[in-house]
Amino acid sequence: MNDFEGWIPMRIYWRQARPMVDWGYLGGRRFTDPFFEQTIGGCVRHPADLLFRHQTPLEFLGELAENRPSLAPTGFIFHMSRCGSTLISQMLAAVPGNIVISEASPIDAILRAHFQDTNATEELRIKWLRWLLSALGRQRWPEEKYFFIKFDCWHAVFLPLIQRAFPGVPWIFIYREPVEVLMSHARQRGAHMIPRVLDPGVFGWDDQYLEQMALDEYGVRVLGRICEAALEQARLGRGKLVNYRQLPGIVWPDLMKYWGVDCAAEAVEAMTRVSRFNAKNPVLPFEDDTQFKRRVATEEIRRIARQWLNGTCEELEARRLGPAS
Amino acid sequence: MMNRPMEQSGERLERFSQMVLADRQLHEQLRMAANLESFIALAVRLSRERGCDLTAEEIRAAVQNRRRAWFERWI
Repeated sequence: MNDFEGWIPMRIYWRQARPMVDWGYLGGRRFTDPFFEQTIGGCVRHPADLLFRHQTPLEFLGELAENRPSLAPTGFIFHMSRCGSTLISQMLAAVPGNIVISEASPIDAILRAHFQDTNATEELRIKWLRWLLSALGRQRWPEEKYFFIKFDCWHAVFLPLIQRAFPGVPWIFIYREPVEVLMSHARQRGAHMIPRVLDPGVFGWDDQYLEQMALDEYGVRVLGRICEAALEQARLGRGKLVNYRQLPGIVWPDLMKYWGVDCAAEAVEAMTRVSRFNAKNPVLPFEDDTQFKRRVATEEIRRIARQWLNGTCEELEARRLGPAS
Repeated sequence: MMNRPMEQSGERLERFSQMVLADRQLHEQLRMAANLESFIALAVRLSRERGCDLTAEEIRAAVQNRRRAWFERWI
């Protein structure tokens, strides 16, 4: 059996109703870019890498998972988008002992598989997700010891499934003042904020329901669903809530302790260094734009935030501060 | 080695791809090409040595198609 050492599942797609994996040659690269897609972009840059790629049935991931060792997930990061989650993943990725997979499209393909493949039951998706994370969490360097996954923001709605797949893996949900998040999307709208980019069923809506919403209302209600999904879990005493305002200080030592990670002085130094830069564009220094975003927020943004999002975020914050968190 | 009768370009490329993916040294050799032109020249030679007889035009077209498919993967 080819052990696919140095290869990474880059994409999951369906060929004649069969789920397939498109593999890329990762070689010695580490996942240090802000997003998974940026790292795998390097796996298709050279013409040889572009042309010669393994294509296997998804079941092959199961064979690999059974036969090749891999790191178990150390911690999961969920978030409402534009709220500092990339800063956390970038701080973690700065430490060579951590594998950090950030918003990987193959994970998304599995979590949303039931929208295009009616055979993709929850049980099957749980199995596929375990196989996939086993392939993503393979140790490629001897120092790699911990394995973190930052999910896409809408994956919070799949928290029950993800927790069934990986019971006991400590997860966090990070959120931020709604108006600040909405102002970030007003400047550059995230894909999930555009109707029909994601199947409305992800949020429990149908097409007809969608037609009643204006663009901005759609976006804020998507964020509302994401935060409600995290809140439902928090009410059950699950997960750890993190407010953007706690960054970056909460990462070390609080989150490291929460995730059970031994953190040497060099690791803390590497994380601190990264926290001084813009997480999504690390050539730029970090600038706190909180006051600016609040100042320029329009009355309409404030209104829809009040209507659809503030209440949920206030309860998240109350739970974080209260004894129940 | 000879081409199989009536084997189309896509089939020859697929056969060569399978050889590359099964042979780590061959794969690494192709990955060492410094740019597209030297990759094409190398792939033509190595495919010919293995009876797949890919032409420079076929390899260039395949690279362009894969690149387009990659960029259009979400469409």
